[in-house]
Amino acid sequence: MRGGLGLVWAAIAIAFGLIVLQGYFIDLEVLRGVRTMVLQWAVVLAAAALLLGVANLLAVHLSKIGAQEKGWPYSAVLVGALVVTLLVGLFFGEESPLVLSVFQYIQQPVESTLAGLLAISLTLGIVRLLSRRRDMRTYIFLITVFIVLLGTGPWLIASNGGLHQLMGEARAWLSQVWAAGAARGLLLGVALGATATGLRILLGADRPYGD
Amino acid sequence: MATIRCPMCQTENAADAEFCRLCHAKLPDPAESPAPEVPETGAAGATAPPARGAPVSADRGSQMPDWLARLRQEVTGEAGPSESRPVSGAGDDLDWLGAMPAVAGEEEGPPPGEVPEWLGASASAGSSTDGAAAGADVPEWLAKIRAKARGDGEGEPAFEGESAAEPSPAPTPAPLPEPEAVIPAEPEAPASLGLPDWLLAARPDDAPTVPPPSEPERPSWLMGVTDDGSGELPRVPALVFDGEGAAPEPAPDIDLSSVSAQVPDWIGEGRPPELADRSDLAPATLPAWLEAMRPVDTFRSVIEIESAEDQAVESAGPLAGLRGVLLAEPVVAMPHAPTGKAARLDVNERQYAQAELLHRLVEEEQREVRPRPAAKARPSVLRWVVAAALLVAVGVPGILGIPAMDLPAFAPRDLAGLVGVVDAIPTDRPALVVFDYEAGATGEMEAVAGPFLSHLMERGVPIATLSTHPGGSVLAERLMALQGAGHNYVRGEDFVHLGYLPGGPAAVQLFAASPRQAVTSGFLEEETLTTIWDSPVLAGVTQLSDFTLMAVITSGSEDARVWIEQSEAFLGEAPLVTIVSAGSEPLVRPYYESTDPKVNGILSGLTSAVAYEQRLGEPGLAHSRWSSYGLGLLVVEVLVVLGAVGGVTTGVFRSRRR
Repeated sequence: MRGGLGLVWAAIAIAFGLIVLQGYFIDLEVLRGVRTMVLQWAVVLAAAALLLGVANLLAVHLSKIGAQEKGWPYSAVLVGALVVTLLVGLFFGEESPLVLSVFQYIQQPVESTLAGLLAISLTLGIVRLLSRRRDMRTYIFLITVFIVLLGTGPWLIASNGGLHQLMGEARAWLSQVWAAGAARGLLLGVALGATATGLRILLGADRPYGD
Repeated sequence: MATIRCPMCQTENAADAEFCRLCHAKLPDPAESPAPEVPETGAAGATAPPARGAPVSADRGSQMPDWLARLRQEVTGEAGPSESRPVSGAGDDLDWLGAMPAVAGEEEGPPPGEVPEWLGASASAGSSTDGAAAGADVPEWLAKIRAKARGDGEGEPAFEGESAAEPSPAPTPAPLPEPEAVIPAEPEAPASLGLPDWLLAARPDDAPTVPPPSEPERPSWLMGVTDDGSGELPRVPALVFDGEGAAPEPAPDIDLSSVSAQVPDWIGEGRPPELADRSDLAPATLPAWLEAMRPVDTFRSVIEIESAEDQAVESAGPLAGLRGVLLAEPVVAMPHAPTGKAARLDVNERQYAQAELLHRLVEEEQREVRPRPAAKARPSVLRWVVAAALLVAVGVPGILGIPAMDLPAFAPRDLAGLVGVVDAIPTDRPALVVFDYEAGATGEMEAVAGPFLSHLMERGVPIATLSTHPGGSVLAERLMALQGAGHNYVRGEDFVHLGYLPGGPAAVQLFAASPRQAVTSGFLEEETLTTIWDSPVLAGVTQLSDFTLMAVITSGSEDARVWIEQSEAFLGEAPLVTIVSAGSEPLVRPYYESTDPKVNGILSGLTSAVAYEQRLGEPGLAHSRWSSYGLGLLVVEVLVVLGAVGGVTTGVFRSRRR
């Protein structure tokens, strides 16, 4: 019985995958409608998954508060903020000025502050780097960082001297040759992996939905 | 009185006793295996081996092995013992040999007619009582020994046939049956049988031989033991005291000091002379490490034996219930602490130091570690210095407007391509702008995307915004309101928000394939509209290719990759441009710099944005943040240099200190 159900699930997954895939090759009205319907289902499921994620987050932090674990006051703040935001959104609507104010005056400054702290932490790490570790890779990293910063910073770019040309070309060579080459390798790997995974699911070799 | 001997301790017991009165072993049933009654004064040698326990009868003497009977018949020419010869008492003692079953492969004696010469000669010598006749075939050295034995061996039993019949004074192993017929009269034949030829050849002619075992010589230690006439063999009493039975007999005090190994003289003579008297040889010495491991004072020369009453009774194992046995359980099974004397070793200082180190390590491992109180996080001075320097470098130009950093003298090469794409798009259809960045990246992304949006608004292109992030629509409204204020762009008339598109890549695919089915309601849409698609901004848009341009503003390379890969097939002739942060530029640039580019324009980083605003002639967010950005980068560069110098200096000092 279980094997029969597994075959059914595999057949459904393969069929839906082929329906979505054929949209790139065949332009038929019927197939287009079916593909759109399947994608709508996927979007609804993804939205439901988001709700499930929020529920799971709430449950985890409620359990931490109940057990008085370490850092439970932060969990209490999180749960309180979530409940308040949810209630405000439900009562006043998602487009109300109050909800937009919460986003503009609370969420955005907090996230920007975190980004600023990240900049300070990275700078501190670079300053301490040679005090903690001195090897060839560290020296190469520091020299690269210094060249890119010199090529990016306005105090050198604004000049018309030879140093500007040199640093600008060095920065472009590092970012568009070395970094872009590495990025191309990463993208090729991701594409090959996605292709292999999709083919295995379409062929029924992988069944992440269960047996 | 009939008695029965205990097979375990040899104690005499009554014939009707079931258990031994001394060791309580079960006695054999006389009915099943009748034990021979021990004669009161009989010679011990005349008794059969008790282990056999077989009854003795005269007829059993006739049960000689066939091969032995055949051999005797061939040698002596006489009939077998079963036919005519009487059975001697000595032969009776070994009749059980004949009763033994034949074993496969057992030697059955020489075949008929193949008797060795020496055996024939011996037999003839044995048949006649003249020993001189047999000496013809005897080696010379053996003949000398024999002559000497005859000369001064008065009273000593010989191996000749005539003396073999004399009664043996001591219990000795019984000779072979019919010694006068089977066993050769001369001892040389048996002596050569068990020795290899090379050894016989190496024996000197005048070498003394082993005295003939005519009569087993009683060792000196046995001389002190007198036969009590009871016929019992000397035995060691069991260490078991039975309260009901008789006390165990004390063991005879045997002096073992006179026991010594008797080595034949000819073997002693063969010893190399240089090793005979080497008393000057140094005694063997133990290696240092072995000497150090040798236990000291562990040998107890005196063993105290407790009295029988004080001895413990075994409680486990097959010896349970017996008293006086060695208690195995306390020694083997039960844990006990080692004695201090055995652990005392002779160690040197180095070994002692190593042992102390090991002891400390083990002690440290066994020590219970108390949880340390959490140390209060104390930020380092360097952290405060770096944070303060960055805040000052970024804040002062933004607040005071000084120092003003020079603007870029050259525009990036990518900017011209992007400007050309925006300038080429038709303005009768809306452009789709995707806001896929988080609120934390607004500082960079708003400054970078600002000039692009200004360029679109400058050309009068209607704009529709969309986001796959929950907060993307709010950020879009914020930036559109900021940029639209200078271009009189009104929401609902010049731009609309399609809102949040949940579902990740599947939602992007759905939107690319069918935008109207993917988004049904917008963000901040007018209440008069049934759906967002009824807005005049989106008039005529039914699919993705109906947009005049698609722009993706993102701070993450993953979002850019999803939009590029999922929507590129549905864009048709509409160009796709990306406005990305400086950090995600390397992962997006491959889509732009390729033979078949998927991205038609790219804008990244604040430097490109400032150049874009310079090109548009509209200083905006990028210009206002340029000085802070430049001074902040300068401070970071100075800090990096100082940190590198400090790190190298510290490393040099540390290496010199070591």
